[in-house]
Amino acid sequence: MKKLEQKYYAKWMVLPALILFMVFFIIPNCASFVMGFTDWSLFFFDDPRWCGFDNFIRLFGEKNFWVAVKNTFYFAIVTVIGKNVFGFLLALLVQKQTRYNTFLRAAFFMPITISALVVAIIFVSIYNPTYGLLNKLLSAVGLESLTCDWLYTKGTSMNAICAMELWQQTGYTMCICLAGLQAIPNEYFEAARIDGASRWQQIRYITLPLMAQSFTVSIMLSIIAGIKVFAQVYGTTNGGPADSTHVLATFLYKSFGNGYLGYSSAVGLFMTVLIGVLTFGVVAVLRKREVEM
Amino acid sequence: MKKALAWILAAAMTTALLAGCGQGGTPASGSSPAPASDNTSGSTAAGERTLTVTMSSGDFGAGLITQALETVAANNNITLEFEVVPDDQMITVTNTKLSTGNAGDVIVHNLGLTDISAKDLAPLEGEWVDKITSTTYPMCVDESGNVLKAPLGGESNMGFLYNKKVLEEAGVTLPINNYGEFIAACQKIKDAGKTPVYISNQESWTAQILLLCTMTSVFDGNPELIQQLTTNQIKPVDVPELVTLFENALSLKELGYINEDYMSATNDMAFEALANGDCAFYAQMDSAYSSLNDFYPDQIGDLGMMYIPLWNDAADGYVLFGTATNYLSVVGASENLDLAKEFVNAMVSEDGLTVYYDLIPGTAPYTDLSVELNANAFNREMREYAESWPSLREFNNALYDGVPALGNFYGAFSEQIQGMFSGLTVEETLNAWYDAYSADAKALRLEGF
Repeated sequence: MKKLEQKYYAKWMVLPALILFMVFFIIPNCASFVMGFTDWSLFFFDDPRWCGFDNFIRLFGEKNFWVAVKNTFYFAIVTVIGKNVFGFLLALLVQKQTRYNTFLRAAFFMPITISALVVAIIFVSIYNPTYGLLNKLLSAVGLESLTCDWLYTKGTSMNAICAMELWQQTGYTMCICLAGLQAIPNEYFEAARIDGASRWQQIRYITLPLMAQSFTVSIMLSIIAGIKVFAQVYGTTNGGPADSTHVLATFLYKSFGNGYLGYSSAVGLFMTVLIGVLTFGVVAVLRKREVEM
Repeated sequence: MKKALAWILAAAMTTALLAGCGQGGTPASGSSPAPASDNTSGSTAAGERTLTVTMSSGDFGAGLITQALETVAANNNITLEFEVVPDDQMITVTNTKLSTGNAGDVIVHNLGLTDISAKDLAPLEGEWVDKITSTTYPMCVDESGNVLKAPLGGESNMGFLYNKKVLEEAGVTLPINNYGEFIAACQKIKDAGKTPVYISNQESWTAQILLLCTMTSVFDGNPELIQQLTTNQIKPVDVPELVTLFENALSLKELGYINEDYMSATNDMAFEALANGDCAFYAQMDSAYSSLNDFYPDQIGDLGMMYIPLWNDAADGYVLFGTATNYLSVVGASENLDLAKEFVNAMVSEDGLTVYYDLIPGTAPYTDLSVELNANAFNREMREYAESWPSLREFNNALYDGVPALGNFYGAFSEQIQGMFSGLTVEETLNAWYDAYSADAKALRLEGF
């Protein structure tokens, strides 16, 4: 009897979490998969009808969908590169344990504590062409020719949103890199210095290879965040004007807002597959490059 | 001991799970304190008469509507708790709540009965039903003749707000009868160093007013065109009159008659520019009067309202008189059904309307009232224009042979016009509108789509 109790003891403890996971993840995702093949909408909420691959045919034939895909990839690529490069450089900058660096670490990490929507509202003010800080600053230093409507000019809107994301999230990548840097035994650097290795050579041949595990984690998280981007776009341009700044999540949100529930499920399904393939693919590649310490 | 601890932990976690899944009893915001009450019906606790009111952030944010609702509620010993829904999610959230029996008691909205889940609303009745104007009445009843919406807000005018001083200084006199005269006026205003027309394109809903005020006459009296459009035999881009109107609207940008920061300008910036005399015209609703009066009391006398003359031929012109701007509906599954109906009846009684229109002046959607409600100066001016011009509604709310035939063909129109001013051509804009309304029509399983 006691053996039986011990056997099920752990399972009972898992049950509440399992119920939560089932109710809020497994069941909705399975339902979403099925609903993606129906014409379910708010107009016929109680009467969804099977429509085969119609939603996917419509999705892949929609011009705005491809605009959203292009913008999502652009955002993901720029921010993955930016966050990891700047995050690594910042980590190198604040690596040494000094009081000044402790302050800098806190300062760089601080933006992550603010809600993305709040950051978006702040940056809408900063980017405002009439009253915004950025244009005022450019005008003040004699660069008036560079001033523009940052969020609503075709060439600058996505870059402006990327810059906002970099400002907010680079501190997080810095923390991951910092943890990776501090895990590298100091003896490696001492040995390299004795052998006459320059600072650059130490970074190139010791730091970077031994940081591969940290980069795998931060790149994977950056890709997921990049593909899932929503609040940054929703809070600034909301996908406009004329759907030119839509990303996949705002595209999905808009179709859901229009009441196309089946179609939205199809978009969500596509996003899930995309994120899964990209993440596992990149992780598989990066894992091969990791070095055991 | 270990076993007991395990059970306690499991029970605590399960309770937390159930609590998390349960419906929160805390209102989103804006609840008012409950006055002492000795009433019996529709309460959340003994002795209280409390109703949950769902409304959009736009209606809630201005504060005047809630103030009117709370005043009337307090007069009737009722406490209101507000559930606020973001403007752009109003249809989705409201319908989801209605479908799941979680929509509270009363909804303040301006949704059509084809947008909101009408089967989940309770039929309303009262003396006020017979007094609803013929303009607004069709918007309130379903196919079976049940009144599902009690109109509250004024029958809105849309048109150009204008600054009298700016026009006078530029030598522009009213009336302006057609597009040619309007362009000539804009040139004079521009020559005087002012912005002729202000566009606040960051907010998608404002620029559309330019076309809502001018394109109904294309459909009015043209049942064949409506039939072709609603059965997908013709696209908007194939209608030359529509193309011309859209081109005329876009020409304001191409001729340099709009503000430079039109893409990021907001409604508030437009009000400031208009009140301070930096621009001459701004397309808006008459309900803007309350906000302008609050923020620019010294300049409100300089402002007027007129129709939008973008038509080439004055024979196509009209003054836009819309239906009521907001309505009250009672949720069919409300636990406080009787109290909710009592509140709605109180709100649209003469006393309730007096409270509302003292705060938000306008043209009430009721006739034969024994009290004179407070109308604003913009309404009055538009009524004068309506003596010499026909009155029509927005194309999607207008009745064609007694039927709102284009009610399902709005097609995110505001976003399309925002897109046009952001760089789309007229053809691209009309095709984007077609794509949007045909997607709706398909979801609605309309024939031909």
